[in-house]
Amino acid sequence: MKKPLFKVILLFLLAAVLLAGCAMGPRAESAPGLSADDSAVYVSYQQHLYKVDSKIGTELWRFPATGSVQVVLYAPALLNDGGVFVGDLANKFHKLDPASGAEIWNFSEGKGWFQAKAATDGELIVAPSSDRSVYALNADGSLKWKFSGEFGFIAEPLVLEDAVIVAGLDHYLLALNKDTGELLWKTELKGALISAPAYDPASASLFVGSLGNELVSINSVDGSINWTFGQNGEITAIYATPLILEDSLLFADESGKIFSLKLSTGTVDWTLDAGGEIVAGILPLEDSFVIALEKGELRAYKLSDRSPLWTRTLDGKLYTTPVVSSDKIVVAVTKGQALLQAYDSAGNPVWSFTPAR
Amino acid sequence: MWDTLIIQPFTNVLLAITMVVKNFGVAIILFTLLIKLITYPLTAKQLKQTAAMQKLQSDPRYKKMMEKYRDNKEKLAEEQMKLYKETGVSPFGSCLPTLIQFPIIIGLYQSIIKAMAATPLEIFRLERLIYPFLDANKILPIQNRFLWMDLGQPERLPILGIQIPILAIIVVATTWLQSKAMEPPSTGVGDQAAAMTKSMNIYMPVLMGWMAYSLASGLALYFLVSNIATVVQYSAQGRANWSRLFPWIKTKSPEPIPTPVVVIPDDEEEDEEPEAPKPASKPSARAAVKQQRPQYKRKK
Repeated sequence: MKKPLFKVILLFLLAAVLLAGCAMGPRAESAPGLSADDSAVYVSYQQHLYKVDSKIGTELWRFPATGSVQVVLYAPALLNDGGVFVGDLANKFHKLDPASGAEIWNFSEGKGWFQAKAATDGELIVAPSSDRSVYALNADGSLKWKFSGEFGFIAEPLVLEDAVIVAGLDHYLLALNKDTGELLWKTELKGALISAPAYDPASASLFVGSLGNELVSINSVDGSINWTFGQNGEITAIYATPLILEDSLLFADESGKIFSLKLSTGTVDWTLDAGGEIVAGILPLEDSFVIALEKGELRAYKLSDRSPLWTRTLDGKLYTTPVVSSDKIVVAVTKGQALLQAYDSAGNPVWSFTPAR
Repeated sequence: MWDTLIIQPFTNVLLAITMVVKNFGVAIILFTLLIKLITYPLTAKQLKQTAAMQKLQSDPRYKKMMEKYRDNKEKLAEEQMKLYKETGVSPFGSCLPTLIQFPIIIGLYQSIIKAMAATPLEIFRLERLIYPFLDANKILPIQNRFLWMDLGQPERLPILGIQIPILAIIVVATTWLQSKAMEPPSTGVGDQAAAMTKSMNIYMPVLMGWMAYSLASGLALYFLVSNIATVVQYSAQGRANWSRLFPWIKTKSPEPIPTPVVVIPDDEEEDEEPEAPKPASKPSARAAVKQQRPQYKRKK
C-alpha cells in the first residue's frame, strides 16, 4: 500500500527538480524596439540588443553576446552619457558600455518584463515594468524608490523637473514625486495608455492618446484636463506618442488618419488619410514627416501642404516609430527579410541589416 | 479563416465571460469547462470506441489471428478488417472525434494566449479581434491577478523565501492522475501499446509540468482545469480505473461495453472459434470473463 504512494512522491520530486532546471523563454511577441544616436542605431529584437553603424549598416556589437531563449529583449534602449540602458523579458534591467556592449550592472529585483524604454533626467533612471511597478534607480543601479500600481506599465515614462509622469494600462496618467515615488496626482482617461505622453514646457502641458479613442491635453502641475479631442468619434485608438511641432500637435490614429491640432486649444488644423492602419509614431524631418503603416509601407509627406513625397513598400510589418541617424531614416521591420532598412531623405534605400546567426 | 472561425469567437467568449465575472482566472476556468462540456458528446463517443477496440484486442480470437498471421502482414490486415466488420468496431472510430476536438482544443489554447496580451503588439492584435458589440475599452486591460498568481507570468509561490512552482507541480500530478486513470488494460506480455502507455505516463506529466513551469500561469491554469475535467469525464463514463492508481481502493471494473454478436460461418469454424476458456477456480471470475467475450451463434 505504501509503495505506490512512495513512487508518486518520488515522481513529483523528480518533476520539481527537472522543472527547475529547464525553463522555456518568455512567450511574448512584440515589435522591435528602436533608438538612435548620431552614429548608431540600437535595435532590441528577440534574443539581442544590436548596435548597428548607421552609416553602413554593420553590426558593432550585440548584447548578450550569446543568445538564450530565456532572455528576450523588445524594449528600445535608453541612450545616455556613459551608458546604454535596456530591460529584458527575463525581468532584468541592464546598463551597458556603449563602446563594447559589456554589462556594467544589472537590476534584478523586478518580477515582470521590462518592455518599455526607460527615461532619465541624467541622474535618475526610471524603468517601468509589467509587474505593476515603476522602478527608479540611482546611477549605480541601486533602487531609489518603487511605485506599485494595479496594472502593468508598458509605456515610456517622462521625467520632468519635479515629477515622473507614467502612463498606465489601467487608463490612468500618473504623476509621481521624483524624489520619493509618491503619487502626486492621477487623471483617468477612457482607455488604456500604451505610449508616453508628449510634453510642452512652455505651457506645462502633457499630451497623451489612449485606446479609448481620444487625445487629451493635461496640466502637468495638477493633472487637470485642458482639452479632449475625439469626444465626437473623430478618432480611433492611439498607440504612439504624439509629436509636438512648434504650436501644433501631430498624431496618427489606428485607422490611419493623421491629425494636426492646435496645441493650445485642440482644434483641428488639418487631417490626412494615410491609407492603412498605423501603430507607429510620426518621424519629423526638416520640412517633411515620415509615417510607417502597419501593412509595410513607409510614406513621406511635405509638412507645408501634406503632399506625398515618396512611398516605399517593405517586406514585413511596421509597428515601430522610425528614427534618424547619420542622416538616414531607419525603420525596424517585424517579420521581414531584414530587421532594419535605411533610406536617405529622398527615400532611396541605403542599407539593410539582418542579424547574422 | 482559422482566426475568423475559431480564434475570434473563442477569444470573444472568453472576454465576455471575463467581463461578467470580472476575473480572468475564473473566466479561464469557466471557459475551459464550457468547451469541455460542449465537446463531451465527442469525448464520450471516442471513449466508447476506444474501449470497444481494447476489448476486441483482448479477445482470444483476435490474439489467435495475430499469432497465426504473424508473418503475413497482408493477410493479417485483411483478417483484421474482416473482424472489425463482423464485430461492428471501427478501427478509426476513436480517431474521428479526436480529430474534431483537436482544432477546438488548439483554438481554446490560442484564444487564452491572445486574451493575455501583454505587449503593445499583442494588445493591438487583440483589439482587432474583439467584436464591435463588446466594448474593448471596458475589457482592456485584463486584470491578470488570480489568487497568488499573475496569469501573464510563470507562477511561483514564495514559501520561506523559496520560489515554489506550485501550479506546475499540481499540473504534473493531475496529468499523471489523468494518464493513470485513462490507462487501458494490458492485453498481455509483449503488449507494445501498454509499454508505450507506461512511458507516456512518465513523459507526459514531465512535459506538461515543464510547460506549466515555463509558460504564463494562465495557460498552466488551463492545463490544470482541463486535466481535472478530463478525469471527471472519464469517471462519469465509468472508464476511470481508480484501482490502478490506488490499489488499496476496491473499485468496480470499468463499465462493460455491449458485446457484439458475431456470426461465424460453418466453414470458418476451425479458424475462427476461440479457444475454450480454462475452468476458473472462482465462478465469479469465470462469469466476468464470459461477460466480456463476444457471443457466437452458429450459422444455420
